Amino acid sequence: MKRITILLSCILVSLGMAAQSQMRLWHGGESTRINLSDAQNMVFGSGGTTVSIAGTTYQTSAIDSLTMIHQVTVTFNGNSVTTSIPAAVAKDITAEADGAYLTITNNNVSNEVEFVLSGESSNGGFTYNGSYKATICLNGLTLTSQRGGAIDIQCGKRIALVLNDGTTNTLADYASGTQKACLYSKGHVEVEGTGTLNVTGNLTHAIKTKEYLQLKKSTGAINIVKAAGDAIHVGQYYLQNGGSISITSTTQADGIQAEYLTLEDDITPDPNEENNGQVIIKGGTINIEMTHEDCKAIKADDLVTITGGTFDIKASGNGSRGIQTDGSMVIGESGGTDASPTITISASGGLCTNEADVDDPHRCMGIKVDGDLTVYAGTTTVTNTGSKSRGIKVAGTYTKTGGVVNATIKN
Amino acid sequence: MKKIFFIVTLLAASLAAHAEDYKYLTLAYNSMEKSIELGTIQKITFTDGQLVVTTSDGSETFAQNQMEKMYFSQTATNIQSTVADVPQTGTSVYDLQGRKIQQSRPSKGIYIVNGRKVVIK
Repeated sequence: MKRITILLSCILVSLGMAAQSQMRLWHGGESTRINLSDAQNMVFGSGGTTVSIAGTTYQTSAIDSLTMIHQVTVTFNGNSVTTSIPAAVAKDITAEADGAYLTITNNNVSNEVEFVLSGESSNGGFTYNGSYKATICLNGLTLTSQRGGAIDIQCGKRIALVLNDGTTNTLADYASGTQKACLYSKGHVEVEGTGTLNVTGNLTHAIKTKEYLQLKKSTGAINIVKAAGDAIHVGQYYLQNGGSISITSTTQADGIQAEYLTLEDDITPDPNEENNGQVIIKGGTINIEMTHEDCKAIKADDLVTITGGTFDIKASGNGSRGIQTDGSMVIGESGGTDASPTITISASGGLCTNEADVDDPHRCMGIKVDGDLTVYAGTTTVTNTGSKSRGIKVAGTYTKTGGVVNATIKN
Repeated sequence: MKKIFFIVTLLAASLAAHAEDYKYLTLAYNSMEKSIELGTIQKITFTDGQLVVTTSDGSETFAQNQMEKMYFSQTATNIQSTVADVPQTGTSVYDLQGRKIQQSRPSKGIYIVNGRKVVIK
């Protein structure tokens, strides 16, 4: 009976109600989505130099391309999940559900499939297997796993994570699982969409990407409610062009950490990886509060470049740091305006003397740079009120050609 | 029993919802038709008077000045360019509405000749 139920569940998840394919018309660098039913009878005219699509006549020379979007819808509902797959890609995609735990395997390598996740389950999860870039849209999803991660993306290609406009999405994982994060991706992730994402990492990191994580200008709000490990842990690099990041530390871990993507079976940073180990912030807002010992709000293995954005970082734990890099740091753009970025850091913690570093107590610092610090523009303010705390410490060369720096600097 | 009935009902509802779930893009050109699986199409472009459909299997090119229309369908249609100058004596010729054609030399168009689609140019 159990076998029959699982089989029927598989059939059910494969035959949903809302699957559809759409066409994307690219013209002038922008795109318009068109339902296929609205694009019936695309009639050519004027010797094939015009084509009528969904009631509008286009010069074919003005059309950059027409591409297809195949949209798979996934709806969680308590202890069950319903999946709908368009006929055009049904032979390439399998969906297997065990209660509200869904595993999608996508073998389509021709074009990008869009997965739209919505609904609510306090005992469910989403696992994605694939070998081609894909889009995952969060469209009002509330998902708590009782087995592992809430979203586990086992695909090494680019994943576009879209926070659908006007939606709030909430993810939480299992505190006793073996997952790498509440939201994990084996590849690189590009976030867009003006919705909100709340993430709770009960076991370790809240968000982890093995390769780069990019927040596009259109990104809404990402709130890390809790993280037993780092709030956001990325391999390769972290790039923020926009969006709002809010992190409240609840355990001894870092806020945003970018680590080197290494060579296979080696600890050597892979020199072929672009921006390896870097944090690059060009815009958006970052609010981080580190209350625990020896934590870094922003930590990079390599270069930190901040050319835009508004930062409000509070490092109140003993030995904690606002920004720390093993490499160098650049603030502002050469020739840029003095208006951006605005970095405000409060270093109010005292000395950290944990067992591992009993002979080398860590000071609380606003910014700690092991390489060089170059300031071109912006306003950087560090208030250090903690016992033996420091404003900015630079091991290499400190150069300031513009902008304002309000901080004590130890060079 | 109730459970099975419920599942079958759900399945039926799901299948019904696929009524407009298209599987092919069909291109009508020069009185011929060619269907391409939607799931394989990567992009369609218009370059130098050619419509190019790039798929996972390669690309297909169509002269734009011969293009009539494109449409989406659930089944594939492939009308080849079978050109018959004059139907042979004794054959039955019908138009696409099923009407028998009496003329020995039908005008341009698509006809059913002995059960096969034939394009008269």
